[in-house]
Amino acid sequence: MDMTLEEFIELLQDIKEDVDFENCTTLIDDHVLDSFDILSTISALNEEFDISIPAAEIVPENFNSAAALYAMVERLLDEE
Amino acid sequence: MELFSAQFLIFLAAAWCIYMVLGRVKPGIQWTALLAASLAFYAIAGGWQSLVYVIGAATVSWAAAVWLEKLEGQSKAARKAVSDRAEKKAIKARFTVRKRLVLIGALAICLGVLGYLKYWETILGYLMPDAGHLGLVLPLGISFFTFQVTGYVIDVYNGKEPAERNLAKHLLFTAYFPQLIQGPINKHRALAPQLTAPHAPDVHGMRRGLVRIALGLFKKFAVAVMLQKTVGDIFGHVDDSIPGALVVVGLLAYNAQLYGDFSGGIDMVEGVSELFGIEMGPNFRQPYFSVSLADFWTRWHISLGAWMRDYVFYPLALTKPFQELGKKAGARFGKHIGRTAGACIANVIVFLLVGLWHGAQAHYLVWGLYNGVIVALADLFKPLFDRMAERFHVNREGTPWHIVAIVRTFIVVTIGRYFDCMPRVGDALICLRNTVTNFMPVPWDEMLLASGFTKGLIPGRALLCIAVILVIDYLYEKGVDVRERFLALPVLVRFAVYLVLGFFVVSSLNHVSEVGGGFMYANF
Repeated sequence: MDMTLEEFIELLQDIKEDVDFENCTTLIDDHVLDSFDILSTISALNEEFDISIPAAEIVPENFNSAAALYAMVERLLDEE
Repeated sequence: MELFSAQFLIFLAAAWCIYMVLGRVKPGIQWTALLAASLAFYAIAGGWQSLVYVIGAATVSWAAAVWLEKLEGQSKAARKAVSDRAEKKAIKARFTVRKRLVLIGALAICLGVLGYLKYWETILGYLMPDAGHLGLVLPLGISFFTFQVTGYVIDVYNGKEPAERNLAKHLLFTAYFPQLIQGPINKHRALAPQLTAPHAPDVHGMRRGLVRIALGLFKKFAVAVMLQKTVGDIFGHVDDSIPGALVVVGLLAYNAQLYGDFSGGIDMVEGVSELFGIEMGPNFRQPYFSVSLADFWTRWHISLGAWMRDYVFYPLALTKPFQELGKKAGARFGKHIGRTAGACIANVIVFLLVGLWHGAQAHYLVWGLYNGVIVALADLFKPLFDRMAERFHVNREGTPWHIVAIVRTFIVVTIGRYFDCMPRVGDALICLRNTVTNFMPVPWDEMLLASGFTKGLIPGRALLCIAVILVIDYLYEKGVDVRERFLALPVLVRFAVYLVLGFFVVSSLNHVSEVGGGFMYANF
């Protein structure tokens, strides 16, 4: 992926401004992200990386932190 | 076989003894005792015809899952054998089509059987009102086990779950007896490993289980059964002149009855499962302490909500048309509408399906639509509500607002109950109208007598029991492990509590002979 984790966090920050993507590792477990945030995040990531994140990927392990989201995008790009 | 019967008690004791003895002698096959008990329970409670359905659903979902895994294995092997990226993609696409066909086939069979048994009679009634009844009988718990196995097959299709190779083990996952009556709809990855793992008697876990069973009995018999007749009498024959005050009291009673019946039944079966050392998924989390309707639906019938979220809401909201809708709405009406529009429509569809899950009757669909629209509107207008709160300096973090939000949610839920508890939309509309225009035409006592309630409306002791349940839920809401606290009390205190609760349960038994002891959600 042509993007560092820091740049990726900046991208997430554009989608949802008031979340500490740098440090939070319980975005789903602590209900920091609601279903709208999850859908907008997916929509933005799909557009940015030209991927298609399926509903099956919506699990806490993939959405609990920026690093987990970054890893998921990397994996999906590899699979493309 | 009712849960509160000598027959079930004997069955449970025998099943537990055999399970634990087998666990000591041959732990590797301990689960077979649970399977035998589950099949025996289903045959006794639902009849052998019902057994055919549960075995059929298990077999279809088992075969589909194994097939899907095999196709995925073949796909991976074929992709590994080539180095060209485009060719790899083409192979994956080819196998995805095959996997999709297997998935659609399995879902069509399982959901088709459920749909036919559950809806065909009603649909035929709408199409041909004069046609006779087909006499279709809904097998016990078919909605629950069908959703459970279809969820499992979708998870295997998505690669989130390995397929279970052993048909008998999968049959146990499908037919595990505590979940058969009214759920919860368990996730395979959470329940299946527990079912086949060896379990030795765990005294503390069993004590916790017994407390939960006692609480379930209390909710079911001291509240739900005690209120069943009141609700039935009020809404049994709705006419144009029904006073609104009577309707409101009936709805409040229905709220308590439904919660006592459903959550009480769930407490009982969860407790029974805990006796075997197996923890099923949660179904309730103090729903009447919700601060919004959306919050309510994450606390009431949790396992159905989770199923709808994972297998309907997200897949639907992520489809191209919904994503496009979001983009277009965002470009035209701003960021917030763009973010929520697609999800709101998906939410309305989900709630319509939840209504349909309860039955094909029009009142369930209206009830589903009501819930979906309210949740969607609350999301769409959130910025407006935020601005209003700011304008009027409302501190939404404080306790007073929290209480207001709880009361407001309770009222919104109760308005929805008009369409849930009355079998005809017309009756619900009359009741709604009279709540506003004909609230109390004559004094309360006169109204009761005129409506035929010569002995009062709601038994006082039912109110007392509702208060007890509210306190227990409040403690859970505050993070107190009530069961643990209760077990830490001196034995005499516990005995006294059991005695008092037991009195309320036993004294409701004469009502059971009048109204029956079955569970409302067993019919779904």
